[in-house]
Amino acid sequence: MSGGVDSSVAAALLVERGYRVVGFTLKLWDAEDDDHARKVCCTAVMARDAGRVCAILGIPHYTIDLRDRFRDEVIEPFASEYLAGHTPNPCVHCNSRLKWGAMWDKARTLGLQRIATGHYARIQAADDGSPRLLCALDNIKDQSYFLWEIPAELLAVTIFPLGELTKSEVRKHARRLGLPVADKEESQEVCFIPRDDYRTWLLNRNQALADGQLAGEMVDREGRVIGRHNGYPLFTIGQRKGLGLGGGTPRLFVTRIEPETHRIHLGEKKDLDCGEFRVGSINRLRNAPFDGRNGYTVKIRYRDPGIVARVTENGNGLYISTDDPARAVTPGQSAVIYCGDEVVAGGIIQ
Amino acid sequence: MNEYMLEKFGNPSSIHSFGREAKAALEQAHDSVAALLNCSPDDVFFTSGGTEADNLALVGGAEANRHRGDHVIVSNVEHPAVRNAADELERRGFRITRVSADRWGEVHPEAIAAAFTDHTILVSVMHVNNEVGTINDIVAIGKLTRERGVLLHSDAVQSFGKIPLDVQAMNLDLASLSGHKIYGPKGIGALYVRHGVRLNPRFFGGHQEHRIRPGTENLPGIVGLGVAADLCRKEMDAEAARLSQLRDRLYRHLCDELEDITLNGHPTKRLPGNLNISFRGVEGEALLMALDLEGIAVSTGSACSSGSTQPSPVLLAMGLPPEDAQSSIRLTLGRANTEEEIDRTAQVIIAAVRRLRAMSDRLPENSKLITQNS
Repeated sequence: MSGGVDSSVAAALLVERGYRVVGFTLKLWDAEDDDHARKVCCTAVMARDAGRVCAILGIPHYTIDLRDRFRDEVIEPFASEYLAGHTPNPCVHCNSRLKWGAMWDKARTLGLQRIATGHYARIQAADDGSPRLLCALDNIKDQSYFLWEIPAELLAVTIFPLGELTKSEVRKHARRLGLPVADKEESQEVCFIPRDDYRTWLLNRNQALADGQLAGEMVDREGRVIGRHNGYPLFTIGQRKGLGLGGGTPRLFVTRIEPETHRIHLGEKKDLDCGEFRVGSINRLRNAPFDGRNGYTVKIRYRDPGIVARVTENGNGLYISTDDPARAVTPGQSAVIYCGDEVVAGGIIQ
Repeated sequence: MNEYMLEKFGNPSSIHSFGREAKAALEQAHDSVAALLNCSPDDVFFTSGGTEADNLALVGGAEANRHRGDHVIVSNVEHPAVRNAADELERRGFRITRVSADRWGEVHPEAIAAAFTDHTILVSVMHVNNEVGTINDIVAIGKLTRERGVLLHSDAVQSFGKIPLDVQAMNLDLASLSGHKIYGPKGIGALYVRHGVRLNPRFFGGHQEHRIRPGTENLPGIVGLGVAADLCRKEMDAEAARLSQLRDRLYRHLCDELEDITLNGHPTKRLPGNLNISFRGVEGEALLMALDLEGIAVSTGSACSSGSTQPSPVLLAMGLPPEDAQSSIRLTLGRANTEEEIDRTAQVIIAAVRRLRAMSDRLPENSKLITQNS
């Protein structure tokens, strides 16, 4: 429970359905500065707001300190990914390693039997009774993109009370229940990065980057050097701002990042088109193997409308190919494979 | 207390009849507290609680006697109020020696004696440790400090009203106590100050409490503390016996059913109602939550230090390995606890510990929450 309206209403709906609910606030990181500390999802604010909601609902509330785990399993890999020239998606790992990981382990030791969050997503039983992860009914709020790494065996104990609601319905519930968080602002950013400024964060953390040791050449499609950059981890595929190239030229975008040579490749918009890519670190939510048939939709970033794709097994990973090209397929981002509304599997774009 | 919030609303400092009525209640409370300390009522100063009393004693006492020296001795197992007040003195240029308690949390007179210098002006050693309940021999320490002409302060928050506390016999110059530890209200406490001891007040204002602690008195709180003190004086011996019995019963029950549990603190010289137990292989915080869900309230570390998963500095100072410090809970028995409650508590603890140990065995290594490197 973050003290936000989503997790608060999720808890409240469960209480109304007659569940015995216990609220947990996770202490995951320390604020970098006062401004950061006042953010909506800083632990002290979260715990206070979540605590008030739990008091109104009459349920126990605990704050558990998972800073060490979060640092090791979310923050460190996040930084390493940038240094590898990738663009990571930390919220995915926070869900699977902290929420459905450490927090769930703790909850089980207390004899609790289900885990619920305020995510917009659905769990539904298939014909054979096995649980499936589905996107939310509210397309715009759907957060199933971040949930692909949940271990399949935990779907059976997962509840998403908000999956069939729209955001405005959720706020209505909050007002109906008298929860003080009904009109609270939402936080959209990566929680542990102040002001969502990951570049400054990386510069503060990595001496080599700050010293310019990761600077290098910017090259065009023909391999001609057309500029220099100050550090390859500060760039992402598809980026067009901040290249320092001035106007007049055809619009150029980052098409590839080469950490070994520090080179950033630039190209035109069409050079971002990609019809096939490999995905690793796969998590399957349904056990059936992929056989190259069509009929899947793949999302390669949050809020991606999705693109029709064929998926085939590829060693430990998957091979995805699309007829219409995907734009700016970015290593490090999650590729989430849907069959209709159902999240079938997901992985990291290689 | 309600009487002084709703009806007898006078200010004890006022000259009129309403003030005199309030003053009488104030003096009655002074008498009640003094009776439990074996001191004069004039030597009792009401404060906002134990923390303020500790600060008044440490910082006020050291600063007022700076002309005689700048060395202060405290133990390394004190409550955060004393610990942090000593840290503040250090920041202000005083030299602080933090004497080590033994593995039971006991602070030995010899250790205090060894720490004396020619510049020592103040010693602060708690009478009873709030985490593990160990009782220190303040009489012996008081003899040493009196011989050396050094001021002795004792944080008596845990002992006042529960075990005999005779400031004369102990040669105490300063002693802190608190209302809510003896079933009185929160936000009220007192500092005993031996006649003639110089203290710098922490804040300045009117003439209340002989200017040592100015400000219009919290009369409802003071009245509450006074009545609590009276009740304790009447019931102390019987309560101590009853609680010791209940505590021993609980501990025996746990020992009968569980292995790998240890009692922290001195086995015999301990507060009647205190148990502090390490359960190997169990995270104290998890056990606390499991008990809470069953309607049983215990703690890990003092309330003033909760909110983090760092193991108690007091347990670590006593030499407990971090895993044992991390796997301990403190249970304090009190007036309202019955034998049935104690028996039920034992059962719930036994079941929870077994379950937590079993699950801990099944969890993969990397998802264990006990941090090994504290």
